[in-house]
Amino acid sequence: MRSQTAGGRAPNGIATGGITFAPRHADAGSFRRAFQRTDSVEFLVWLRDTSYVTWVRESTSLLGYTLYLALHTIGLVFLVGPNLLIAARVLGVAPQLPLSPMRSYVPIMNVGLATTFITGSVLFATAPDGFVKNEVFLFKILFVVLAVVALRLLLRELYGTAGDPDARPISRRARRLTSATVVFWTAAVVAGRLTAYSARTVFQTLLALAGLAVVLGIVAYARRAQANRTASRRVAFGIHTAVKEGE
Amino acid sequence: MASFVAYWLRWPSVEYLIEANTWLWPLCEIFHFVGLILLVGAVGTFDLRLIGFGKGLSPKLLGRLLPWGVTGFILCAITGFVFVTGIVTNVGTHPYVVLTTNLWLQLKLVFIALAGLNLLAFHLTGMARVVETLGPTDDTPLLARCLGGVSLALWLGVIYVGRLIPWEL
Repeated sequence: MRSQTAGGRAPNGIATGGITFAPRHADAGSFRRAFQRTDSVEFLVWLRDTSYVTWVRESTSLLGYTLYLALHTIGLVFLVGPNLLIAARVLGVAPQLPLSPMRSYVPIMNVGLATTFITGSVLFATAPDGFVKNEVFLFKILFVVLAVVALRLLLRELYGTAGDPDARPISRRARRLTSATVVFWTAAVVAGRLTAYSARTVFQTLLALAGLAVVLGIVAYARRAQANRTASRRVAFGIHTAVKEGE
Repeated sequence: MASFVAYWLRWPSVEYLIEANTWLWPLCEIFHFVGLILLVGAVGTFDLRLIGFGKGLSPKLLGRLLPWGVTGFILCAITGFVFVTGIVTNVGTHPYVVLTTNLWLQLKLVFIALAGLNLLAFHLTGMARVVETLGPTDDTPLLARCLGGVSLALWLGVIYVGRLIPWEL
């Protein structure tokens, strides 16, 4: 077994109090029996103790656990990277970028989604008993599902109707869905990072994040207010036009 | 020399911060991830356009998003600095030992350096200027395509080996 050190990884060590799991390898192998019982716990135990998953968990091979872990992050980048590019366009960070060519990123995002789903499933299978008892992980899954649904709806909103998406103004619905994808992906990444930590640390980290968000919000608000004041002063003193001409 | 580097690599202030605030390490992990998504999101889409994927998006306009990638890189560099200089607190290994023995961390640093050299080559060969002048659907020169491919491979490699670092601590 891998040690639970820096940052913590698969929450194998997380207590599974409440549900009792069969001892490891006690009754591995019978998929049919696992399903006939229609007992999800039994199924998870069967899944965890299948020979391949056991190998993935315990092997030190580069084709074992680390392969899935690394590919999970690379899949995430393929999925969220293009999503952010679309967001930059829709939310006005890069208003000149045309939307219609970004449609070619959809296959890349699908590959990213498939990669994260498959690798995530294997990672889950290595310690399902730990994961199903981990509220932070369940929140992560919730946010991922919400993000993917919002992304699907956004793509339908942008490209679903005939005609050039750049010829029509961006709808309010598209803007809302885009904001939703950014918020949900951020929440999913936060929850994903926090999955390996104790409830106390999770709470403290969320508190620190909230504090940071408040500080950044105040800074942004102050800067905007400052810019507004400067602009109105320029107008009041007639500097505005002079500066414009000077450029 | 070795002892000087070993001395310089330990930052008691960072170690104290991590020791005293359990939330600091996970917070840095979160920003390391946010940073890598910004970095590879901005740089990767630019690289894809260099390779020839995403025609219709002008390289010049995609290039204007590269400061977001730089922001991501700075986020990753700062948090990465905290990870290395504060590693003693987390796993009890001296950062000098980690740097000299952890193959994945070494590979990651090499990949980042190579990505930097690749970026330098992109500017020194004049490709950066050539690409600026291209229209939305123009083909990029072969050299720009190669440099874009190398950049994309290196940054994905950085993520890959980066994820493996904790396995040898």
